Amino acid sequence: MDRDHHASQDVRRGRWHRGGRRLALALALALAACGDTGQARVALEVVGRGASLSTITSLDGWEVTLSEAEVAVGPIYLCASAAASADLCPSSVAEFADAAVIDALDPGAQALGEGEALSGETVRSLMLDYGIPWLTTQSRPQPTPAAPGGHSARLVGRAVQGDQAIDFIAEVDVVAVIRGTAALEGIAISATTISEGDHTLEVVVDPLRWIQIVDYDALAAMPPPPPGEPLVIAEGSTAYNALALAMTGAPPQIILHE
Amino acid sequence: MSRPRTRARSLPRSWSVGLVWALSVIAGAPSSALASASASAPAADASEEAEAITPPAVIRKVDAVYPAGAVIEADVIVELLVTVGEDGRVRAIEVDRSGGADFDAAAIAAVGAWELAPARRGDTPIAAKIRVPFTFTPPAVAAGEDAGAGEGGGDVAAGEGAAPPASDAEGSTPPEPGAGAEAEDEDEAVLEVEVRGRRPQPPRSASDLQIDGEVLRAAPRRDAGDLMSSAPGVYISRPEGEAVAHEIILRGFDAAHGQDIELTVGALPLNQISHIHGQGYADLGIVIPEVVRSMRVREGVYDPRQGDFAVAGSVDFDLGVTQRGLTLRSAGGSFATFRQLVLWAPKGQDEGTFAAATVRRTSGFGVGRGGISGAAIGQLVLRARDRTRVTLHAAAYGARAGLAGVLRRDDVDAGIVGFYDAYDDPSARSQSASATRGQVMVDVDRRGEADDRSRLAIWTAYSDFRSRENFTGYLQRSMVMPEWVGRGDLIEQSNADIGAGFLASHRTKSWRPAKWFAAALELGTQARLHRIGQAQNLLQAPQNETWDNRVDATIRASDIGVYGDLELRLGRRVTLRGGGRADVLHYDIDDRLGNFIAPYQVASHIVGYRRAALGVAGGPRASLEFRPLEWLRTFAAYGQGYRSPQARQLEEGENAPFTKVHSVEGGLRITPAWRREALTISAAGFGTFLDNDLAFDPEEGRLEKIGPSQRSGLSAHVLLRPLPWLVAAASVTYVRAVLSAPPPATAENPSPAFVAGQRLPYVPPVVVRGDVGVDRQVTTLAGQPLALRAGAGYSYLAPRPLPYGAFAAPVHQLDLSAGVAWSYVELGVDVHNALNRKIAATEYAFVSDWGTRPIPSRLPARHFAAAPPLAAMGTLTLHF
Repeated sequence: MDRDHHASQDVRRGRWHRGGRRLALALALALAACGDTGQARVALEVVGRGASLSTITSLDGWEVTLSEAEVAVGPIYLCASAAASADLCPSSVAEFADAAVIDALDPGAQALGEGEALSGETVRSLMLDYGIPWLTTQSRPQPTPAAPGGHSARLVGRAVQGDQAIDFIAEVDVVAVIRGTAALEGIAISATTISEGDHTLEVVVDPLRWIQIVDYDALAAMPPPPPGEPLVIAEGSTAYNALALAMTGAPPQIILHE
Repeated sequence: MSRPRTRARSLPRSWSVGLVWALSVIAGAPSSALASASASAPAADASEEAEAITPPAVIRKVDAVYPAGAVIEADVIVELLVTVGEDGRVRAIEVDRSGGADFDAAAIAAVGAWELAPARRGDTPIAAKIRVPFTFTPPAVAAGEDAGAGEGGGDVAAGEGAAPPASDAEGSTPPEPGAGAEAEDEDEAVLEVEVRGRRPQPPRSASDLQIDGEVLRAAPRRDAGDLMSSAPGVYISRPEGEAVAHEIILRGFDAAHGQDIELTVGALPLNQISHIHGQGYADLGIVIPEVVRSMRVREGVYDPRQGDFAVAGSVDFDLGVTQRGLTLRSAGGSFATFRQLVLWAPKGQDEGTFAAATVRRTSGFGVGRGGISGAAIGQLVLRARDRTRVTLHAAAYGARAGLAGVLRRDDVDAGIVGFYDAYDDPSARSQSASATRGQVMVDVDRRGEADDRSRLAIWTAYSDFRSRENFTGYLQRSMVMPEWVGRGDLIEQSNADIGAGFLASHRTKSWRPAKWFAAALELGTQARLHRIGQAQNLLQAPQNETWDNRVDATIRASDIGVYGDLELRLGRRVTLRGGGRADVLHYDIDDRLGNFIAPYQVASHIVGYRRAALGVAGGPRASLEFRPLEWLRTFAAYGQGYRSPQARQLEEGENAPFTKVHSVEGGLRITPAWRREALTISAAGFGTFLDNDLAFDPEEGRLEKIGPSQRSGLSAHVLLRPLPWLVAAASVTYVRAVLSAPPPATAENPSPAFVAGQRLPYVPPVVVRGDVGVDRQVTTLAGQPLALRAGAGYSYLAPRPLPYGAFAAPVHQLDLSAGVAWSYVELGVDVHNALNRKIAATEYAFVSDWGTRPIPSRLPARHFAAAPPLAAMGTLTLHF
């Protein structure tokens, strides 16, 4: 009887120990889990979209149609400051720390990769590169593998006015002026507070807005390229600079939504 | 021949327990013959034998503690007859003269915890009975509560570990064996030794603890900072190497290098004002752990004596050496670590008198962690017949060490860099730090005929600090030459501080207009003045070329404080203590890079910004102690403390803002009557409210404001001495530390994320600590006692919340030690991090770019600095 009594005590003690351990573990986890710092990292799906049209009338009346348009975007840093810059955004609140190429003639959603964001923070501005960042440790801007042909954008098209036609190709680089900064800084977006759920960062590029401002009359006046070959808009040319300026002045539209 | 108590009466009264004991060797015979030897040995024989008898010697003494709550106007004398066996163990204790149950119990508890070497006839150990009289002098309760080197407590005057003991603290010559026999037993050979006892300072709250040496020495300690691990709610680490101060977590505060915790050695403050590496920076390297006799930990701010940086609380190191004699210690072990110690504590002198020096060098675990450090510290305690005690203190310290720096957790997880490695990068491999400090103090303490007390302490200290640390990799841009970027964020900080200060206080005699009422007032003033030169630059490795200037300033800072502390005793059960404190803080700043002109600006002025600011920090402190039962004390306390500002953040004419803290606590302390001093349980609930908290900013390598915060929680501490040779202590602290309001808006983030109840970063919600120590004489070998020692210390930290939603890994740290002592020799081994867990000494979340990914992330990432892995040290100690 004594043995039974002790056995029953042992069983109870064993249960208590197991229960005690579970309770202690639960308590420890609960205490640890109490640590709500008010923020969490949330996933950011980054998608790209191109223009829904491929033809536009330029400012000087040419009908311009793009047959190819590849644009590299990234990295993209979204900031809480009113005007994102290397100085005013030492720490971003959402980002796409990568680069990817967008088929700028495809209006459908194109998966570009994954980013991250911090919940509870408010995004007010962003800075980005067209696939060629200039990191603090680099002596000159270096294209990412995503950059088409090592350039920010590759645009191939035809401009037509009356019986004149110009087949052209432009490989444009848009890079930061100062080492350690982004090519495009201080781009304001509508203030958006990041919630706990996953988010989508939509990057919409419209190359037609860029090619719209090119002076095609001036291109037509240039010596024609060899037959069968397109006119190459060379770096440093007026048309090239116009495209680079357009890519800076008309940046991609960035939309952050759940 | 006089009785010891006769001599005791001739000694000056002390505020603390005036403990005088005498060893009366009653018999030099084997234990079996003990009784008869003491009763019937002829006088002539006894006299002859006394010449050959060596009385028992104290190896380890535990002070008697004045019974809590006892208020007796006159001295209370208790005499014990203690039988010491052939093995040195206390075999029996009899009360020969009672002073009342509480006092008898206190005396028995103290003697029961002593360890003694047996009496000897020639080389043969013999049993002996000794008479130990205790004189309990009524304590001056409030006086000298900031005990330390200069305090009156804790001074064993003579005889520790020595046989025969030498002269007493009064400077009298050691009595000859055979002299001073008791009046009623002329046959006794009496050897008289004076011991001044110590009484723990009356606690202001349940979290006001004195941690004695036996607990501090239970687990292995690398340095004095490690001693603080035994305090409830404390976790201490040294993530920035051996030449940078510890980082301390205390009861919900990430006190960094000392910003929230006041650290003192008696009247000498260790925290440094406006240190460039962190407000309140306190390098404990100057304190050699072997000379720390006890530590008083006050968690909360309830005592008017607590000054600057007492936000989470205060820790005071009480210096003294109980084991007298010459100690030589040499240790060596893992990572080519060697440490040598010379400690001289002259026998027959005050415990506070000693000199010690140590040198430590290590190759360090992992990459770039080698270092060398050395420290020397000495004290001389002089006593005068008119109850004046003068303590002269001097210490110096120097260290230089390499730093591995912090690593990104994701880089370690990806296998890019090892847990104990450093980035293979010239800037990362150029991190280092060096520090020196020297300090001198004179502390004059005079006690009056009653419980009045006057004190004047004067100190001066010099320190120099230089660090080169890279937390963020390659993000910084030069302000001087903005086109310079990406040269490595190797931040060089330097801080040279020379300061001086004093403490003066006077406590009145107790005023007792009625039997049930007593009052005493203490008024005091503290002042410190500093001249601080500091600079911060960016360096380019490996040549350490300067590529940016961030700070170049000279600061003159002063803090002049006055306090009043009133103690009211209402009957035997209620004591109200409290008063107020006010500090005038003045700063004169010569900011030579202020009003900086960027290269792209048109120069319109000359660079520089000189300014002055002044402010007053004041507030009440009060505690109520109610003792409803003999074994139960309850406390309620409230106080306001402050932390001085970082001077360079002040504007001209600004009313020198300071961080103000409101601290409140309720708690209890249980000391069971059945085994007084064998068990003490303390428990408290607390709350702390700050109007402006700080957090570490890795980008600048310093602390920045994060707004108001509050902490609330529970803590419990248990001290157990079930056997004379066994001590155990354990504590659990739970804290909920939250931001009370959104962090300050900045241009970078006009509306920082905030939710109600947002956790403060870096603060572990749960801290657990356990210490256990065994120190026992097990046998005798070749006529010499053989003692074994073992100890363990365990710390647990629950996962710490980090900024931006991350959590640090929990910490389990177990340290073990063991040793065997025989004759003059002790062999020991210390094992740190015995579980060999990969522990992060500290963790942060911030942005960095170490070039480990093609495109850097600008989101804050987890970074950590590794704590040492499993390390073993063998120790050889010679004690003479």
